[in-house]
Amino acid sequence: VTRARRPSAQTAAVLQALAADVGRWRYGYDLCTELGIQAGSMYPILIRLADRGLLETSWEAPQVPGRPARHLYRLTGVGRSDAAAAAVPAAAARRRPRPRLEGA
Amino acid sequence: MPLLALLSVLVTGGLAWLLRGRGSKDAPARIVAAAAGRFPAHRQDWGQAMTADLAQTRGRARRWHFTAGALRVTLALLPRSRVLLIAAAAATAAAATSVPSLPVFAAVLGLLLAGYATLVASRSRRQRLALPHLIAGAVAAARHTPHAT
Repeated sequence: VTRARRPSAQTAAVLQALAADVGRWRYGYDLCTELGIQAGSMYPILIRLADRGLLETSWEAPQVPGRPARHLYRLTGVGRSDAAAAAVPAAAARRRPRPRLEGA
Repeated sequence: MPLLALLSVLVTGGLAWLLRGRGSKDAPARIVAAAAGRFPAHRQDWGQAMTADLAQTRGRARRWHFTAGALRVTLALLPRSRVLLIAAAAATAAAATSVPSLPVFAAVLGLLLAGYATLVASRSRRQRLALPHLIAGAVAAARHTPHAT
């Protein structure tokens, strides 16, 4: 029996950012700046998500001659489900009342 | 991971020094292009993605920051043996530039080489298994060697 691993906080943040506007293609560097995640962490996360079929990738047509084409990312259907599943525990944790200390 | 981050900073500094003032591109662009070329074949597109994202990154500090991150990704994707080799080369280069006199450098180099050898021996399970076999083989060979008459 294989158990789905909970994504790390950074991976969950990337999933949430991509899920915020599902149809929109995003750049890797824009995700880095938006989430405050360094490139050294962001690209391995994107690589893992793409390997697991959660992320769809595409190449943008070069906007400026001489500049390399940029890689674009957006969630697949499976990725959307995973993003929703990752959002539920986080939201539940926010709603759960903090235990009160007895005798305080 | 902290080791990879430290190594990526060291390698970034070393490459920046080696590539200074060459060509029309700036050092981060040359370093990321060189790093992207080292990606495994099935990850080449990710190297191109990072090269393209760097081209859109403005500001010297941001570009260097991105470059260190790209090197960290490269080191993470490389086989561990190659990462060890790069670490050894970086440590040796650092020793060569920071140690002034030849005898001290020779001593430091000797220590580094001894360290690398210890590291390699401790990481290689095959070597640990092979040593008793080697001794047993040598003993057996000595027993069966015909004596010269």
